[in-house]
This record gives sequence, structure tokens and C-alpha cells, in this order.
Amino acid sequence: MAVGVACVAVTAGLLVYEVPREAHSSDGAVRFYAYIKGSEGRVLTTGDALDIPFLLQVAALEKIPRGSDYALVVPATEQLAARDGIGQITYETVAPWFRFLLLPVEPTSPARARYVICWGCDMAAWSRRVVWVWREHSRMGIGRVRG
Amino acid sequence: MGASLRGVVELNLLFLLAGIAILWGMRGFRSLLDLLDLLGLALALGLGSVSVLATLVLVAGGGLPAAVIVALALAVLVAGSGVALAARRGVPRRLGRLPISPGTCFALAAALGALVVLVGLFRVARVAPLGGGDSWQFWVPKAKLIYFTGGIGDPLFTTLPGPNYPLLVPALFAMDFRFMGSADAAELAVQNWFLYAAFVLAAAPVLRRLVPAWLAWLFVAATAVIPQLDARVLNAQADWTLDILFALTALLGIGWLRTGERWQLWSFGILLSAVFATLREGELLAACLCLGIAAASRRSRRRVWPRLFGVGAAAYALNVPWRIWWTSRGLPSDLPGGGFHLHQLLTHRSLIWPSLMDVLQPLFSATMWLVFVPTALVASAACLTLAGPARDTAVVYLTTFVLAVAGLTWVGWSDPGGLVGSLNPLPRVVGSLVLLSTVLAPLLIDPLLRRSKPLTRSAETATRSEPIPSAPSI
Repeated sequence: MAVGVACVAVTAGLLVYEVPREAHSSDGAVRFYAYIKGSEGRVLTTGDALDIPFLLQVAALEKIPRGSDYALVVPATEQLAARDGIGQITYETVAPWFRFLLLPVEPTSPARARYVICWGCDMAAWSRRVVWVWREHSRMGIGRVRG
Repeated sequence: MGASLRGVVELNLLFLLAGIAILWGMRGFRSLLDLLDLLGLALALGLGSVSVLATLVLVAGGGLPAAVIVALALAVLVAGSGVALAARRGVPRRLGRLPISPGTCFALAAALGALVVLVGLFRVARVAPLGGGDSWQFWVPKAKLIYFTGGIGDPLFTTLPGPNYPLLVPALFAMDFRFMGSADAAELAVQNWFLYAAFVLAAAPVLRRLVPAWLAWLFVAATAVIPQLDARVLNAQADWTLDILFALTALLGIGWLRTGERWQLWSFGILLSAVFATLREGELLAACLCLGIAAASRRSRRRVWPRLFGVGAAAYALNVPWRIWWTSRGLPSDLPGGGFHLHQLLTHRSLIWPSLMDVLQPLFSATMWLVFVPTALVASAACLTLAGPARDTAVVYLTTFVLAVAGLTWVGWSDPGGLVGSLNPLPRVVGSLVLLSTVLAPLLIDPLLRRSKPLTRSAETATRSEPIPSAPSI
């Protein structure tokens, strides 16, 4: 019987302590996320937390039409990406993130893509092939392939 | 109410109707309050059954447009209602009586605690960003592909991570998207909230048939304060879906073992098929649970085992088409790393200990899961000294627990590359055992509080010959 009473006492004690803490934690989370606007904002915030530029995500959603496809062009190696301020985790996650974000627009190879998402790429080298439909600076933009 | 939220609510209402029909067919309702009492279980059964059927549609090459989803729910509804009418089960008309007992106030207080946490979780589900790496790596992309391309035939589907992972979660999310009218991934948190709410409302009445209401609600409410639940239940991943379905399945299996009520066996079967269809680890956990129930029922094996393994085989059979689908496409095995290759396993036997620790450390981590595993283990050890159902429950729990720990250790041991950082699935998968421990704890503690008869030679002989009772008719 002592074992049973002890188990009940421990659980009841946890409940008394944890329920107010959980309620407080929920209030805190709701307050913290109050700055995010709309469902799309909630998704983009996750990308933002991965250090993927918010504006690049918004532009990709706006500029690449449904039924199209895209290629993500980022530096060839992690070391080169670091020079553009792209961290290791961001470098590893940027491709699957855009794949998730842009579906039903699917990723494809740069040779076949109708759109190019450039982040840390040499935009000048791409300028002969694409028309830049959005650009943040000289190494971040979204281009539509000519022709 | 936004269109996305309305869509999720409508889909879950559809699940609820299907689940009510299942329960009506399997057991009937004594009164309106009895029906109200079982709404959580109805939602879980409806969600499980319709989602498993949806996976079969996908494997058959179909898609999940709204008409198909409604047709699947209607099929379940018609089947359940047909059985109810054939069995001449009436529609509940009486209001019924509230079950008032000496511990009612305590039960209400605990239920109120669970409600407070549920309301808080719902508020967070409406504002939080999409959580969990696996959610956007493959669970939600798979659902999006089903939603946008009308099935699982798109070549991208098999190139996503985990191409052979079971289909229940992508199918469920795709159905949500269809009812939302858009692929609103962030709002999937509300679907997960519905599943957890169904768990809370289902576990309590199933437990209450076996233990006092206050004890049942104490531990069901306790699940709401598990830190890892708070952190991850709203993520659009399959981990907590599996945990919830597995814990409910175990509860229904033990409920059937202890009461002999056939509706609990059928409910066990429906949710077991959903466990198989949720995650690869579900197959391991389901096998451990069936073996645990078999071990506890060895005295009445002639009656119990054919039904148990018959239902288990039927539940697994519903998932065979998916296995045929992905194996026929040459996708990699769903076994971890070395799988069953003894030679390969022996070459990295040094991993046995680290992988065992990888299972045990998170299991006993109070910061992740509080203390429900040690609580259930202590109570079950004490129950082994008692006779009758208390001992049976302890045997089910301990056998399932030990086998699952061994199985998860094998998962880590056989996959040398898998025990690294966030790729390591073991700290997440043990959630099923934690939730199992929490919901079975009342069944293990109640006999200790009642000072059940200790196990004696004569008591053991008496319980050995005790047959499983036949299902009471309602």
C-alpha cells in the first residue's frame, strides 16, 4: 500500500506544480509568437529560424508560379558558403526547406530549371541566362530563365 | 474561424461520426452520457480507421479528394451502423446518470488540470511556427505531394527522406489540406491537438472502467504536463501520433484482457492497424505489445491467443499493400542498418552498450519525461507479488517494456551512423514507452492501494484456471 500511496502522492504533487507552470508557459508562447502574422508567416518564421532570409522566402513564393520548377544555386561547398554568411546547418537545410516551401513547384537541375533561386551565387555569371525578377543584393536574387 | 481551422474541425467531426458508428456497432451506448463519455475514443477510432483506409487508397493509385475522404468516412459509418442495426442496438435516448463517487471532486480537479493544459496547447497551436525538422524534411512534403499531385505516384515522393515510412501521417495531413482548401502547414498543429485531446478523452473512460475515476484522471492529466509533450506534440511529425495511438492500443488490449469485452478487442485491432501504419517503430512496438499480452494470458491461451494474434494479423494485413508498394519499387529496406545480419551486427557489437544507454537515459530523464517510467516500474514490480489482474497487467507492461527496450537497442546497435545528434531517433521513440507507462500506472497502482491479495500458491492456481469472461451485452 505504501508504494501505491507514494506513487499517487508523487504524481499529484507533479500535477499541482506542473499545471500552473504549463499554463504560464502557454501564455508566454502565445505572447512571444504574437508578432507573427498569418499562417504563411508562421511557416516562414521556421525558415527564418534556420537563418534562411525571410525576404528570399517571400520572394520565392511570390515570383515562382505554380506549375513551374526551380533550381537552388548556392555556393559549392560549406566553406565557400561560410564566406557568404551561410552557416553549416543553414547550408544543409536550405535545399529541403525550399523543396517543402515551394511545393507543388518542384526542384530540378540548373540546366532544366525555369527559375533560379540564387543565394551566395555569382549573379553576374547567370545574367546571360536569366532575367532577375527579384534581387536583394549582388549575391541574392530570383531569376527567370530566358526563352 | 479561418478556412484552415474550419477545415480541420470539419475533418475531425467526420472522424468523430465514423468513430461513433464504430462504437455503436461494437458495443452500443447505454445513454447519452455514455455516448458523451466515449467521444474521445470515437474520435481516435474514426481517425485511425479512416486514415488507414486512406493509405490503402493511396497504395491502390488513388488520390484523396474530398469525395473520397467523405466516402471512406461514410463507408466506416455505414459499416458500424449496419452492425449496430443487425445487433438490434438502440439509439441512446435516456440522458443517463453522472457517475458520482467519493473521489469525484478529485477526478474533476485533475480533469480541470488537463483542460487548462489543453486550452493552452490549443492557443499555442494557433500561433506557433511549424515545428520539427522531419515535418518539413518529409512528412509535410509527402502530404503536399498527395494533395497537389493526387497521390503518391510523383517521382519526388520516393526521393524524399524516409521513402518507405508508412503513410498514415502524410495521408492524414493531406486530408487536412483538402478540407482546409490549401496546404496550410502551420495549421496542422491543430490536427495534432485534436489527436491529443482525443487521447485524453479516450484514455480516461477506458481506465475508469477498471479503476476509480480520480486515479484514472490523475494519470491522464499527468500526461498533459510531460515536458516533451509540451515541446513536441504540436509538431507536424509522426512521433507523438505513434505515442498516442500506441498507448491507447495498449490500454484497450489490457482492457479486453481484463474485462473480456469484445468491443475493446476490436478497438484494439483498429488502433493497432493505425500503429502499424504510422511509423516503422510502430511495428516493433506493436509486436512487443502483442507478446506482452500473450505472456500475461498464457493461463487462458486457448481462448485469448487465437483472438489476439488473429486481430494482430488482420491489423498487420492492412499494411501489407504498402510494403508491397515500396518493396516493388526497389526502395531501401526499412530495417535499420545491419538489420538481421548477424555477422554485420557482430562487427560493431561495441555499439550495444551505447545504444542501450541511448534508450535508457532519455527514458529515465526527469527533465524530458518527469518520473512516470520509474513510477510504473516500481508499481509493476510490486504488482508481481499480487494475484489476478494486477499481476497480469504488470506482466503485460514489463514484457512490453523490456522487449521494446531490447528492440530499440537493436535499432541503435544495427545502425552505426544513426546514433548521431539530431539524427538519432531513440530519444524521440521512447515517448511511446513513457506514455504507455503513464496510462498503465493507474491499473498498476490501484491494486496496491486496495491491498490486493498477495500471490500465493492457491491464488496462482485459482487465477490460472480463471477463463476470460465473455463480453457483457449492452
